[in-house]
Amino acid sequence: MQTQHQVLKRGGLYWDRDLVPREVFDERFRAVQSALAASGDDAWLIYGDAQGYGDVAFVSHFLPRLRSVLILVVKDAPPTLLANVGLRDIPASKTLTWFEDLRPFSRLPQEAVKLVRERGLEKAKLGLVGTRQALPIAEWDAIGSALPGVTWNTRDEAFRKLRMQKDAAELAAIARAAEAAQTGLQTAAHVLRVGTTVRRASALVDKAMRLCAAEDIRILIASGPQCGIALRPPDDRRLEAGDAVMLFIAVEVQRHWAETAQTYVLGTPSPELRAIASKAAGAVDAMQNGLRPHTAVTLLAGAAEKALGDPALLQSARSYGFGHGIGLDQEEPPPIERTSFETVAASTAFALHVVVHRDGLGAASGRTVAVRGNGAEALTQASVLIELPDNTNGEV
Amino acid sequence: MIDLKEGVDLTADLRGRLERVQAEMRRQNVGGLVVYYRGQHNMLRMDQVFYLTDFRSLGQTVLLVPREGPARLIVTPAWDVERAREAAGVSDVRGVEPNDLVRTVVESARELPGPLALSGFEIMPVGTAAKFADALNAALPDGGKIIPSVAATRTPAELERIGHASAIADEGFRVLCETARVGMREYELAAEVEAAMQAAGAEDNFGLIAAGNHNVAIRPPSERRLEAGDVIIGEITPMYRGYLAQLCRTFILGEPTAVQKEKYDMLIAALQRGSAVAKPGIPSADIARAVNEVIGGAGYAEYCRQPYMRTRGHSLGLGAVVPNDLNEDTGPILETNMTMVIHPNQYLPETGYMMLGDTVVIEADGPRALTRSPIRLFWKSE
Repeated sequence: MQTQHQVLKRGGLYWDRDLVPREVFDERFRAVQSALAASGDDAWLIYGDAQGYGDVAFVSHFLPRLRSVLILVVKDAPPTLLANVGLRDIPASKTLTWFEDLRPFSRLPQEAVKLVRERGLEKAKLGLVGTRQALPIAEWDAIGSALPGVTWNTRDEAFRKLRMQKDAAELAAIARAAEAAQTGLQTAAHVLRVGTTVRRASALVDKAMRLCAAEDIRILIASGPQCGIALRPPDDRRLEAGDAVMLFIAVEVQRHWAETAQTYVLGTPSPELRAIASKAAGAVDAMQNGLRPHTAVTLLAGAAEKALGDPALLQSARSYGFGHGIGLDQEEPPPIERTSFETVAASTAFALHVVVHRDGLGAASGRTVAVRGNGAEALTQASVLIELPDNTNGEV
Repeated sequence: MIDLKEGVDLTADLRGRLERVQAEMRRQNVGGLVVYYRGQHNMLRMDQVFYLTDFRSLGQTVLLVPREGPARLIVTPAWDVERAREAAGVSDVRGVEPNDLVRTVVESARELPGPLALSGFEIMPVGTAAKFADALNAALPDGGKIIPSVAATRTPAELERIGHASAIADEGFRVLCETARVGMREYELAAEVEAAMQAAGAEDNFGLIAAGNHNVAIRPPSERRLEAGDVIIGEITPMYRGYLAQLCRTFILGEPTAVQKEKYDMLIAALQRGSAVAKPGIPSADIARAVNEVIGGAGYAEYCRQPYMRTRGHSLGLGAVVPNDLNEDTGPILETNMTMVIHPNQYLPETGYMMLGDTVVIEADGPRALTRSPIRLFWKSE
């Protein structure tokens, strides 16, 4: 789901080599080299930034915490990574990746062109990965005009195929992120109390996940009358008795994301709230129950829509989407939608979510699931509706 | 708890910003300005949409500004439209799905008087730019400097928010001093600071906290456990309602050595000298020169360059970008109500990297520090 990008990934930033071992990257790099050879290109340039770094991290484990990165992969040679950091940042940056050739840049076009020329690729066929989605047009124009002899090919689809099936390390890292997300949900149940502000409660949820070594955290929340409108970043609204609270969490650990969502109520829920919370949770269950390797994605969306039924609920749920792949990017293909022609990969992960609004009420349900073998395993657990005390005497 | 009541008429403040931008458009003969923002928030980059609307977006956003009259805001995702309508700076708001953004913007842009210009080339992805070019059937001229050209100084509403952000930074550093202990992981300490600032009103933070017995530079917190004698350096940069303030300080987990005290005194002298010249009418480069004179004069001239330091200070986005980095070689003339952080952060061979810096606003008599943490080396013995 769309969340609010932060000015900096400021949580624990390091390489957990037990979770994502060095050998994983040997295998991935060999796969990239094979795909490069099969493409007929001489080299690939892989671009990423703090907002979308999945392709870069897949091959390097490097994380651009605020700016951009460009990787050059050449046949039968070690890769080079250009990072938008200062020279003084290189020692710390090198601890995040297995790449040995790591170079700083302040202006990407100059350094990218210099690197291409250094490798004798001025008249080569170069594949581009990630540039259409993220590389600023001003930088691309400068690179393209400085290298008129290069033949450029877009290789997003070829690279996507490499990432479609997740290896054991990636699924393990997603599970670790899911544990942090679960911690966030559990903390919320202890800190969402009458009299506290949404911002203060969110701060404690955020802290609990940072203590799980989260690199980045995104929280969207709605409380009281906001539940009839939309999720939003935390604000200063003070919680009142009887409030419903819709909480959506996305958390990144070791470059991998997990998402979850849960509805709470401070007091006893009305039958109407209970009904729509049940609908939302049921729609997520329906998607998970249908989630198997090779299943058509459109069927998942169809299952969620059938479970929701009500037109008003359907309209709001479609606006947020029913979910998507998840892993090194918070939102990976395929999006779960009726118009999809894609099928579920044999080994992958999905974020499933259903967010609905009706008649001034709202409910959110979501979980991250791993698809393995013949089915889907939930990595986060959410209840239909969690009832919390409606007085201020609870544990805050 | 920090009192963050706001006392300035934000709506009038935003109206004044729009009128100044529109006057500049007329001066440059621009009939309509299409302002694109990708949603990738950045401490050192201005969010021009936010500056005119007070709306900090989730996704891609476009503001259409005619040379006179109200602006129109187009936001993604569509479900975020009601939050945008609550923002004080704009009344005409539309929410669209990301795939419909370009088509909707191009249709709306046809209602703008010509000639048109576009701001956002430096952040617009290749794919989005191609869609715009196809839909417009023409390349728009770059209007990216129109808004920054009238936004070098801060308005009363902006100053109030930067003041609040500064108070939150002070609170963050207070919590750092209070909670740092041997055995704690760096990211755990950062989490404590972060939580305190969020609870105090921070909505974002360019926060870097690192520790070691000889730091090379500031860096993100790692899994390393704090040790006795560690020098903890903090670049604490909370955001309050779209405005950042930065506080740089150094904290030692144990008794500082005489050398550490002596070298930190040098940084204090450098900050004081740099601040003393920061007056209206003076080139911002003079701040960097004054700081470097102190540090260079102490025998560290060769360290007054990268990689031993980055810059002697800078402005802070999202709403402010002038005077950018404080370096000796370039910079604008300082004006009343410019804000910036002045920080003589420095690597020294005897101590490693140490940090000291405050957010200031330039006033008639010189800079007024908005961050209030005492200017000294901090430490505690366990």
